[in-house]
Amino acid sequence: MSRHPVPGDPASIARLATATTSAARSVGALVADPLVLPPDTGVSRRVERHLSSRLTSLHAAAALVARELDTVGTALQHHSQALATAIADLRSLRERGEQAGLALVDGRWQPGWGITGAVDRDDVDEREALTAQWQHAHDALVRTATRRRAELGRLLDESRARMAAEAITVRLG
Amino acid sequence: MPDPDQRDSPHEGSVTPEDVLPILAERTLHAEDDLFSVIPILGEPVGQRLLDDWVDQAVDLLRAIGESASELDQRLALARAAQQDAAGRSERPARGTSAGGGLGLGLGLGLGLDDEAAQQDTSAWAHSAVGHRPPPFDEELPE
Repeated sequence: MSRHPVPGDPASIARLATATTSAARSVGALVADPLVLPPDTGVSRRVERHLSSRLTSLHAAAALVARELDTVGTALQHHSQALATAIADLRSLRERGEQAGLALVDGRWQPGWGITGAVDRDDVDEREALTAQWQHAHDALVRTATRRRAELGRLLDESRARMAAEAITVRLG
Repeated sequence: MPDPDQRDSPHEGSVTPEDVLPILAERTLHAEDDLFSVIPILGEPVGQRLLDDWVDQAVDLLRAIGESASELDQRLALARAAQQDAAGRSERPARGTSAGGGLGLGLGLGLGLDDEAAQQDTSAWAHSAVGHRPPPFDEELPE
């Protein structure tokens, strides 16, 4: 069985996008103002400095995670929409090809099942030109989907690296 | 289920870490659950691995933030309790000194508050109506 030329499930990606942007809003709303230690905690200056530093670090981490969740959530939402469009376009292209007696197999247009042929040379030329045109449309569609997936992958990887560094900072206090 | 965005939101205008930290801890926990409740399908191995790794890392950072918020909230509550304890002992000096440090010293242990509690303890003795020295351990204090 051949792999789908435009893989992925737009609905599941959209669900993750919704969960991600919702988490970004929820956490982001709490870090609009800096976390400042109240002056009357009654702790020693050493402990006060330590707690203030921890609060600053925590605020920075919460702000960062809210930003990353928002950025990636938005990118996932765009990706799911683009993916849904690409899948629909590909389905439409496949149906039109099948109506014209062609079949899309492993990303290449081939003559469909059954007896095919033409006595007129012009008909043959016309069909070849149409097949080339459809092949071009199919390849462009797959190329665009692949490029979008690679861009999303880069975004995810960069975001993951930033969050990994921040998690270490928070845990070290 | 109530919306976590609306629930327990700190009041505007008078926001302190003690208001924000417990809510932050709760919201990060909620966000972790939300992110892990979805199984996204990107459909090809490299992209899928990147997406799964990203979700894992986001949850890890949210967890670190939640844990840190809970710990800081606890520390601030302990500092507040120690402060109130010291204030109470200042008002009732004889009873305060008989506790030998009590809440302030006990809760401060291992939480970076030891020196603070000790300071408050000394301060309480210094201002004690009993005198400028701690009472002997075997001495019965007047009620």
